[in-house]
Amino acid sequence: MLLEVVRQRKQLISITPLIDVVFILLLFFMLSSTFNRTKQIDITTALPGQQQHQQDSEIKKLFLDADGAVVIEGIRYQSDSSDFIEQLHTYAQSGDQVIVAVSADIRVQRLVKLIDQIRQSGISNLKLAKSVTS
Amino acid sequence: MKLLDINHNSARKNKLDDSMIPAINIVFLLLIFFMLAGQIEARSELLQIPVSSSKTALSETRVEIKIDANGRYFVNDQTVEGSLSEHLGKFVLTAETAIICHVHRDLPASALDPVLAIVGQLGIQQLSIATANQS
Repeated sequence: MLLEVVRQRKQLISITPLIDVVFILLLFFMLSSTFNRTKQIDITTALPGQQQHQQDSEIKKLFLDADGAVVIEGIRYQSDSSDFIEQLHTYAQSGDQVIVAVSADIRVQRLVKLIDQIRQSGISNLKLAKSVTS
Repeated sequence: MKLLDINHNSARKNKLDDSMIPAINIVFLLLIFFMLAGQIEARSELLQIPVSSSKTALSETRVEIKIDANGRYFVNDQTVEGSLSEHLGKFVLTAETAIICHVHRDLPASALDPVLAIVGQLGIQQLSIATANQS
């Protein structure tokens, strides 16, 4: 009886330390990993020479001013307005090239929002020009 | 009497260990899931990329430019000392080279000007801006 008990105690391997390690690893991966993968928006840079190859009627210049309004051919639009969105859809349907220029004071987030809006309207021919100091 | 107690305790412990096995299996499965599906990213308050609704996944590129909240430029995680064009001169850039720019969202748009100028000089037409998913 005594011998049997001793043999049983020797065979017993505790898995508690293993579970501890696995739990720590699990916590590490749960807290440090992210599923929010980074995306990208593609833009083409506006080279000065390239504009001359296009007809003027096909190039639409958008200027995002310091107040966050978009100026197209002298007319100011609020970027959330239906007029502006309609305008973008018209450019998309006619396959116009859109060149975006921004005020140097505007935040990058605002610029990205505008590019996003232009892309969503279906305009694929989009170029970004250098910022304009006001 | 004492020996019997030891035997009884040992059996109880064995039973407890056995009942833990399904829980350990689940923990292992969760561990494997997070190891495979999760991505470990360095998060910094100094570089919070703008938010967009773009669905295009970030592609691999040879040249990655980062502009942090302090306006410092990094090319492939190396700090740019001096001008950005000199630093980019170390890389063999062609018109087909894709450049991805991670820029802090609260910076003024003029922070992108040096990048646009170089990209224009080198004839590179494709520039991508890294964005985060809208949540």
